[in-house]
Amino acid sequence: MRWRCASRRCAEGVAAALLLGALAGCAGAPKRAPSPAQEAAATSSQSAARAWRRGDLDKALDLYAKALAAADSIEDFDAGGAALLNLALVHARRDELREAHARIDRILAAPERYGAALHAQAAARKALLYLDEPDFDAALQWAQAAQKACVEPCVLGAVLSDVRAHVALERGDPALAATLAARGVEQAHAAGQEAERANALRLLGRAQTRTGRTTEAADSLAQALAIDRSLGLPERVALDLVYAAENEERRAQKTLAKEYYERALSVYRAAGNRRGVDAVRARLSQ
Amino acid sequence: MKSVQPPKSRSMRRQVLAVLAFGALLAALLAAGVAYRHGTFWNKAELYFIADSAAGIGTGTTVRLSGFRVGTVTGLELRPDHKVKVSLKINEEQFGQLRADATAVWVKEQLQAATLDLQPGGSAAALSKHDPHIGFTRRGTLTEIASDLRSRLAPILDDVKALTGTVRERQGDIAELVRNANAASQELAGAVKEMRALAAEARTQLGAIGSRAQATLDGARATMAGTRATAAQAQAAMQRVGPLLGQAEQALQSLNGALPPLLEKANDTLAGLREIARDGRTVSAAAATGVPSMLGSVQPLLDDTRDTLQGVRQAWPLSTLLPAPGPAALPLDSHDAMALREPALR
Repeated sequence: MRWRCASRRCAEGVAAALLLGALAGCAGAPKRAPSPAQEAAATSSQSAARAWRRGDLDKALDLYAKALAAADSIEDFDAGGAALLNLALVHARRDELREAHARIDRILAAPERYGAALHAQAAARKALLYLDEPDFDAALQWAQAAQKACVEPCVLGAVLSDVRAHVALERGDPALAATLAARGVEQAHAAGQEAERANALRLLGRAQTRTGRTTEAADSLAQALAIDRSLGLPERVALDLVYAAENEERRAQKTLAKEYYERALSVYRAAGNRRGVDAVRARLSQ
Repeated sequence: MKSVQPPKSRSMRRQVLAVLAFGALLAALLAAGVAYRHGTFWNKAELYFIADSAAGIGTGTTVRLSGFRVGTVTGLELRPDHKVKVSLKINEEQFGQLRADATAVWVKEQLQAATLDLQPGGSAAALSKHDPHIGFTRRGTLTEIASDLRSRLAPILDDVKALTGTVRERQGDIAELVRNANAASQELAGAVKEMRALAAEARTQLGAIGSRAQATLDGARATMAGTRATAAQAQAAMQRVGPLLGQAEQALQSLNGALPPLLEKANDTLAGLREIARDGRTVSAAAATGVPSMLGSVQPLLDDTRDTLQGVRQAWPLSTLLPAPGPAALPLDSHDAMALREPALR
C-alpha cells in the first residue's frame, strides 16, 4: 500500500510519529537492578582498579579482597576468578610471591568452576610469577599450560611468546629470543595489544643488541619507545631508553649512550622511581 | 336700451371666481411647499469630490446625511486627467457637521435611485470652507457583492470537490491511517508507562549513588578524625615523657649525692626510664610516619569520591540506568613480571 505525504502538516505529523517511535525505542524495558552482593562486588572491583591505577597497592589489595568476598558469597565464579587474578597481580607487585601463587592456585585447582579462559589466564600469570622467582623451567611449563588452555582466538599468545623470549635471553640464547620476540610482536599486533607489542619490541631490541645487530636493535627500540610514549607509560619509556643506551654502548657510541641514560634518568626521576634512578646512576658511573 | 343680467348668473360668476382663486392659492402653496422641500429657501453650501468615473452620478442626485436628504449634486466636470469633479450643494447647517476627513459614499440599492451618502468623518478639524474637498467611495452593488462572493467561493468549492474525491479514492488508506494512529497511541501509552518506570529506577539509582558518595565522604571524615586522634595521642605521650625525664634527673641527683649505696638501684631505675623514653620516641616516630601516611590516605578517598561524582556526571542519564559492569581482570602484561620491569643486570 502506498500513500504520499505532500502537505507540510502531514510531514510534521510523520516526523512527530518517528520521534515518538525513537523515544519508545530508547526507553526499552528497564534493566533488573543488581543485588547488594553483586553491586558490592562490582563497586569494590572498580574502586580497587582505581586504587591500582593510582599506585595505592594497600588499598587495591583491600578492595579486591572485598570484591572477592562479595563474589564468593553468591558463587559468582567469573567475578571471583577476576578478583583472584587481580589479587595475585597486586601481591606480586608487593613482592609477595607466595601469596600471589596462593591466589592463582585457587583458580588452577578448580578449572571446572572458573572456566577455560580464567584457567589460561591463571596459568599465564603463574608463568610470570615464576620469572620473578626466578624458575625458568617452571615458567616455561606454565606458559605451555596456558597456551594449551587458551581458548581461540587466544589473546595470551604475545605475552607467552615474550615470556619464552625472556627465558631464552636469560639463558644466553639471543637468537632464539629474537625469533620468539618477533613472533610476540606479530601476535600483539594482530590482537591489537599495543603495550604488549612494545614489550615484544623491547625484548627484540635487546636480543638484537646481544646478537650484534645493533642497527636493527636501534630501530626496534625506537618503535617500542614511540609506542610507550604514545601510551604514556613512563616506566616503560625509561626502559626503552636504557636498552637504547646499551645498544649505543655496544656500537661504541658513548656520547649517544650517555644521552640515552640521562634521558632515562630524567624519566625515572620525574616518575618518582627510586630503584630506576639508582640503576641508571650505577650504569652512568661505570 | 340697458341689458339687465339676472341675479342667478351673477352669483355663479362669483362662485367660479372664488373657486379659481382658491385653486390658484392652493397651487401657490403647493409650489412653495415643494420648493421648500427641495431646499429652495435654504442657505446652501457647496462642496466637491473627485471620482474616477461619473457612472451612476448625475445632476440632481440626492445627497443624504444620516438618511436625510440634505442636498443635491449640482454639477459634473470632466478634468484633464480624465477624472470627474462632482459638485454638491447641501444645507449650510449640515455643512458645519462635516469634518476634514468627510467622505461621500455612492449607494445604489436594487430598483432605487442612486444616492450619495455623506459620512461626516471623525477628524478634529472641520471641513475647510475655502476648499471643501471631501473623499469619495462606492459601495458595491448587490450584483458586485454576489460576483465577489462567487469568485471567492468557487475555488473553495472546487477544493472541497477535489478533497471529497480524494477521500473517496483513498478510503482504504484513511482506514489504515486511523488504525495506525490507534496503534501508535497505544504504543505511546506503553512508552509513557515505561518511561515512568525508567525515571523511577533512575531516581532510585541516583539515590544509591548519592548515598555511596556520602558514605565515601563519611569515610574520609572518619580518617581525618583518626588522624587527629593519633596526633593527639602522640602529643600526650611526649608530654608524659617530658616530666618523667625530669623526675629521672632529679632522682639521679639525689641518689648520687645522698644515697651512694643505692646507686645500683638508681642505675636500674635510670635504665627503666631510658626504656620509657625510647618507647616515647618510638611512639612519636610512629606518629611522625603515620600521620603523613594517614593524611595521604585521605587524598585517595577524595579521589574516589571525585571519580564517583565524575562518573555520575559523565554517565547520567543513560549509563546509570544500566547495572554496573561486573568485576574484570586487569589485562595480562609481560611487563607485570619484575624481571621485565626493571633494567636487567649486566
